Amino acid sequence: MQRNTWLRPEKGNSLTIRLLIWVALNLGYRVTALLRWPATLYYAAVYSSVRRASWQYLSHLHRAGALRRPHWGMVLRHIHAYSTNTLDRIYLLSGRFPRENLHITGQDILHEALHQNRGCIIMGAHIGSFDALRQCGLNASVPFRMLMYRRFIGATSRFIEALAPGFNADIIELGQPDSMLATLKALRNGEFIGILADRAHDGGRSIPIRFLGEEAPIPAGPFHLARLTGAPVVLVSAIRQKNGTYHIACTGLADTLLPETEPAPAREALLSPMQAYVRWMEELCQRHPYAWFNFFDFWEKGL
Amino acid sequence: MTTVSASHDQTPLERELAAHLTEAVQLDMDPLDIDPEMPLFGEGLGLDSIDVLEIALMVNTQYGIKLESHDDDNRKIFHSLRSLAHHISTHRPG
Repeated sequence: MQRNTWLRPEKGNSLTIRLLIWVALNLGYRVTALLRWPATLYYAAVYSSVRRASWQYLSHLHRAGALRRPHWGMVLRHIHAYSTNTLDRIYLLSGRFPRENLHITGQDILHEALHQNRGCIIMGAHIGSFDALRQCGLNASVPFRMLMYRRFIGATSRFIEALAPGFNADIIELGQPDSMLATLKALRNGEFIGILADRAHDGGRSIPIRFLGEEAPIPAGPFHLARLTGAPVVLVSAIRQKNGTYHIACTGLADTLLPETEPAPAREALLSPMQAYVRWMEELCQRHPYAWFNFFDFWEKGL
Repeated sequence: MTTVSASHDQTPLERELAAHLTEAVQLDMDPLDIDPEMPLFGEGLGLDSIDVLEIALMVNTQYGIKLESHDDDNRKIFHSLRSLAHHISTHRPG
């Protein structure tokens, strides 16, 4: 078993992704959308780890009572949902995704959070599309910056992100000595900080929490950050609907929206918000089984 | 313990800072055993950027020095116990 299996370059090579981007930007959505099934079959055939990770996740969902018994057709549907997500990223990041196709609910909680003048941590997961959310963030009056781990970025993300002007300028890179100091500064300036909090990159800071019936290592770092800075946390998901639009939903993470002067002391204080976060992920997975985009051994129990 | 620490040659401020530091990041080692020249981040003491944030907040509370801005300097300031102590001694108010 290998730990942190997502910490490797993403799948996909630069030639196919550049071709895909060219087709998407020149031949339009409908034509490009036709490429999703060949791409899905290719990925499913070539990458056994992706197949197995999907199967493992679908089985967990089944045992949790949220899905019927998995079969290989569901694995293909899962990978197909991911190729749709990748396709949409091209349009979202190049600014060609129609704004009216992004619907946001619960945004009052964001205004409420900002009123506390401690900035706001927008916490998401690799469920649905964070780029759809980012698109909304860019239109807000407050700067929106993403905390990201960049060292192992693959060709797919590199070429797609190059479509968005200023994408890198809006990133605070994780894994640097001063990553959190830069984050603190941004929060004190009243900015939004986006984090996808479901992937651990430092085993030392993850805490095992029951997710879909079995303990998985969940990173504690984002919750430490919230505790130390006193910044309110808003959970945000952006889920693709059947008609191709995105529904962006904001909800406050319990306990973090109350103004507190004294940060709670230790690890125990992190458990309750972390469990609330994991419950939120579970509900999303149960309602949108194919929007889960962690194609690696999430539970670290072996694929 | 003290025989080991003697070889590290901590100044009085470094000794005090080391005690605050181990408490802030809940480091499971004797503060006197910290080599003042050893990098705090990564390979050295094995601290991560959340720890660096904890230390910055501790320095703010204990010594009244804000360490969140000046992005370029931070990596130098937080390099080691010694560089941090040096920064504190030269920036202490009053």
